[in-house]
Amino acid sequence: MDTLTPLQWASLALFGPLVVALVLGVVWPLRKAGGPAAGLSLLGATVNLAAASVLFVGWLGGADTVRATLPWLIHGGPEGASMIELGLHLDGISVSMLWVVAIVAFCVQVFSLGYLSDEPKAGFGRYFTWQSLFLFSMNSLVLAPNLLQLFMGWELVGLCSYLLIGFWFKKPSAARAALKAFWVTKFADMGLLLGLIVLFVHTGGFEWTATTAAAGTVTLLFFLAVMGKSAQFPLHIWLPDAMEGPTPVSALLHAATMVAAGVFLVVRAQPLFAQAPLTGEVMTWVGAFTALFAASVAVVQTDIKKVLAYSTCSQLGYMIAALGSGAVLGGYFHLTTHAFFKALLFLAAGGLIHAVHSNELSHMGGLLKRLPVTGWTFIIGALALAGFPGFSGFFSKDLILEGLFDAGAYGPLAMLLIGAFLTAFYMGRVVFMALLGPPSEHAEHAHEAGGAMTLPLVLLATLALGLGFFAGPMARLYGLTYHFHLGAVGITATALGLAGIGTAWIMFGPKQGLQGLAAAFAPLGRVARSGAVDKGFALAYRQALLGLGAGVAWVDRYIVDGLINVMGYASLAFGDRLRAVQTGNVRDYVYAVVAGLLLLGAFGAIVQG
Amino acid sequence: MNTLVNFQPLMLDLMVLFVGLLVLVMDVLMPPGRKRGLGQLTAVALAGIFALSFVVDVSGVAFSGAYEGGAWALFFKRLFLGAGALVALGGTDHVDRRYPGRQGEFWLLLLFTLVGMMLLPGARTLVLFVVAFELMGMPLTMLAAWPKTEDPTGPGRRAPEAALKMYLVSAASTAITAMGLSLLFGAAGGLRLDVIAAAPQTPLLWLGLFTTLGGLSYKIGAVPFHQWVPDTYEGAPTPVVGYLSVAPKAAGLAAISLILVETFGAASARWLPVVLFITVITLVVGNALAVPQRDAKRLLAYSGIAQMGYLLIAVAANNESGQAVMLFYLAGYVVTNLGAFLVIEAVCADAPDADLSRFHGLYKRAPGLAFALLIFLLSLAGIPFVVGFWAKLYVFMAAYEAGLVWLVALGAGLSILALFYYLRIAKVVYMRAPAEDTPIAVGGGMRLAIALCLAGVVGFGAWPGPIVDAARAAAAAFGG
Amino acid sequence: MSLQGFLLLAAALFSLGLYGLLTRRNAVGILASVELMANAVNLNLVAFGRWHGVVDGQVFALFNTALTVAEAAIGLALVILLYRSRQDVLVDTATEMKG
Repeated sequence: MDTLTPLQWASLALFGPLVVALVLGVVWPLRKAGGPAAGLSLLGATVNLAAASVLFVGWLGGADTVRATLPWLIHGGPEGASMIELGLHLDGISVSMLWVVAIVAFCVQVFSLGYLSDEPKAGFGRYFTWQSLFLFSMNSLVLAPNLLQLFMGWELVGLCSYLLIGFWFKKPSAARAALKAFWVTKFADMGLLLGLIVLFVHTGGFEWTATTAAAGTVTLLFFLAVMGKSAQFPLHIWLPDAMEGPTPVSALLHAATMVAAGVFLVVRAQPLFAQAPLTGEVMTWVGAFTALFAASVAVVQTDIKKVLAYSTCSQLGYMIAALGSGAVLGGYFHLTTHAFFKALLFLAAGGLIHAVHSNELSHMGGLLKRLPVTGWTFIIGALALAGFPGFSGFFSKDLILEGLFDAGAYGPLAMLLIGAFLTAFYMGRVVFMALLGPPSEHAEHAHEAGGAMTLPLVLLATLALGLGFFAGPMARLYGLTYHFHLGAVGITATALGLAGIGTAWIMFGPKQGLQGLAAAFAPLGRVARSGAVDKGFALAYRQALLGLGAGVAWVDRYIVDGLINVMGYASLAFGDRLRAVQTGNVRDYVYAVVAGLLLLGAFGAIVQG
Repeated sequence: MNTLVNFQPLMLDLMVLFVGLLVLVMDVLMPPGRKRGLGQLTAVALAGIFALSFVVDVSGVAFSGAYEGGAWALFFKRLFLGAGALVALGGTDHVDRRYPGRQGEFWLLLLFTLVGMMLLPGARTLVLFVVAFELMGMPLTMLAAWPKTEDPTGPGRRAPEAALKMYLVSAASTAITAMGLSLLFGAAGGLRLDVIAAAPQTPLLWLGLFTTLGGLSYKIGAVPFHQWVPDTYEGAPTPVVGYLSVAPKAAGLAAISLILVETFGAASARWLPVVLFITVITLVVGNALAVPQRDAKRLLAYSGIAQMGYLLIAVAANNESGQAVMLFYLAGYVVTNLGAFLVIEAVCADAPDADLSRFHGLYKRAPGLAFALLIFLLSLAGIPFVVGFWAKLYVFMAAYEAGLVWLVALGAGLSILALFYYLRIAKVVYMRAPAEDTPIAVGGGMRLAIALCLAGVVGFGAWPGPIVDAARAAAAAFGG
Repeated sequence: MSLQGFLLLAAALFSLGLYGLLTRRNAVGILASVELMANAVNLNLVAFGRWHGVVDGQVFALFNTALTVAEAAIGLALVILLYRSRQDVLVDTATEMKG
């Protein structure tokens, strides 16, 4: 068999899912049948994965950028007639992202087969139609040869997100969550649109390789869109609510791919961002703050998905901060590793939820024994997230922190380091509460689900474990070089991470932990035995940590969220009030015409040319 | 060459007039009770003239310079012909069913308005300008009042009120426009637009300009001259409203462009603040008042007002780019808005009003209509992949090039608000249970008309190239 | 009479018409006011034409007259329609559609 050219593989990857989505959209008996729809969608995802893998391996071995575009539109800009083009752009960045998306999407679709098996057939089919549509949109974004096509994919991805979050739209909270996600991201998208316009007017095109004095404005506007899509403070509010959607959806969209689109935009348009140091500053601070803020809130969440949601915000903050201070490799590598271990965590959490029929941590417990595969893969994902040495997250986080240190961004670095502690802490908390310890009544009858829900976990866990060792080849893809370097920053971070896990063990672990710690402090044995130290320790940490977390969560929910709600109401109320002017009496209408005329005349007379 | 008898530029207009007279004659000759087929005749004839417009050469000057055919006028003529053909195609069922015995007059009046519209972009003298403008406007008020002996619970019961409101505002504005034009004449000493353009810039001239502008603005529904629009759209027969919402608005913009850009383009510093002011309040009021609406036709009325705000941005941009953008936007707007109103007509044909509750669950009763409506709404909202997105993008670009950055931000922000009321319709169509499960019967002509509109919206969105080129060529021919 | 005189008279007529347009409740009265405004415009046109020494003013005035007449005819027809459905010709009562 003749091997295909890269372009042909890319076309397969792009159009395969689209064809599936169109077929399922038009041929509705197929969609309503449920199972066949899922099969078709999975076929599309497999084709996509195969194509993406071929391309990825090819690029790992070193390949040139390939670009194929179709001229689509002639628009006369200030530089004369220029063409807007659509097409495909293949280079290390787009190919690697394509591969990441392909793997996660494939795992998610396989997992969904098991997770949503109780859904009515029509809904099942609808879900897979949108999964395929999403895959197409994300690919068109990733493979875009210019920022305009990226924008179009961006919008379409947002639409798919709305459809998938609101999948159980009959549930009011789900419908509300979908709407909220839609509005916040749509508002932020304005930034992308305005940025594109400014870019076009100044450079006559939508290329990210342009050099222009307006790069500062353009990138700041882009960053607004990134804040919305990648859930940075204060536009993060939609992400926790978006957990109303099915867990596989959360894994795909809100852990690995869609929210990563914001980060991808920054990476893709790196030449532009490099010309805008101010935007970099803003990004570093916003990212670091979000990282710390979201991690604090995650500490007090009782819903396992919400912990992971805030964790995602926080990790995206790490990536943004890295990109803002020039640690491009760190940001992008973390994007890749995060995609895998976060998706893993979400899917595994899905398995846990499926087993106990509840999202609440308090309803779980001791699930490691009952769901060994799910449990152990979850632990692997958690360790990767916490940056435990050897796991992929360790390498990528190290790159970020070192990068910030080299750039001299000490304030944000401090925030990120505290965040590292909190990250390990809240993940440890989840692991101890859900997987270890005594089971709650809900968890008594939990059991491992079928292969559909466990095999993807294994695949992702392998990547979460091993990808760290491929940092070198991955770096080459982005045109950068990687040196493993464990400096003071890295060691501090690792220590904090371990301390976080330890603290979680103390507070939430099996009770032996507390005794063990007391025994380790044998010289203080008498004080320890009196129990005062334990209580003191526990009190201090509990009050400080959890109190902080709770406080931050309160601000998030009532002030930030509340502000957005108020703004929404205000605009609606304004319209309502204005209705009174439309009295229904035509004499008033004529009056308005005359008044308008006088106003015009007066205006014209006063404003001298 | 003696242009006095040069009818070549007027060929298309005369053809439409001829069709009108043909309809009149046929109406007289047909026995009462068997007057069918006139709507279809109108549709086919208009479609034929539209096709001919690509073949016939209508450039040149007529009547000693009073009339000038050219690419710009031709673009508008094609818009009007297209709108007219689509309305005739989609509205024939309605007309035949509701106005037995009076169909001929209906189509006749429609064709006459069309003649007026087609003459307007070519007018280069005040007399022709005002005659064409009135020829367009007067029969429209009659068409709005067409269901005159309607049953008091039927959908046409509010037509007299709707028509009255339109008429009174129109009459007042016409008188104001005439006064403004007389002042322009007085200041310039001649009726030709180029004479007025070259006139000494006295206060009298400016007074005339602003009075005229104020008088013309009611046609496009600019605020504060817009108040007749929601009531008229709500009460008049839906096919008429569909036509009203696109064709006269385009013609009104042509008229305003003629005055502002063609005649006073060089003095834009004078009128720009006024136009910007009108643009801003139109955008704000149109979007804000659309939000609480519960009647589909009323909602689209306010939405149309808001859309005019975006078009006025293009006028305010006052560069060649701005005119081209305006033309492109209009082309997309015609198919989008007309399509939306045709769907409303299909759904609410026998209902006493067009309340949104009638659209609940449309997805189950008529999935094709629901999908078409969704696409039209997405285009109005400016979502990528359909023509509305390109139109808005271009408008913002033109405005940014002209330095109106704040206006771009305002427009973009309001377009997000607009999503709210557009998607609200889509939401009830797809996510609410229908009041009754009966499928909706849609006639062949209506189906074809909606399909054509849909094809236009999607087609222009996927391949905007040809339309953009045509718009640019037309804009280049203008203002010179 | 000087140009200013004619213009002043036309302005006065126009204002009277405007006043009537805004204050009258009877539809026919409103139509009459519009007529008054149109005639004021005619006066304007003819005066300006005479002042400039061209015939254009009178031409425009003739066209304007014809248009006004056609408009009035339509207006009266609408008034009759209104009367048929509500037995009065006061525009204040035709306020079913609002907001």
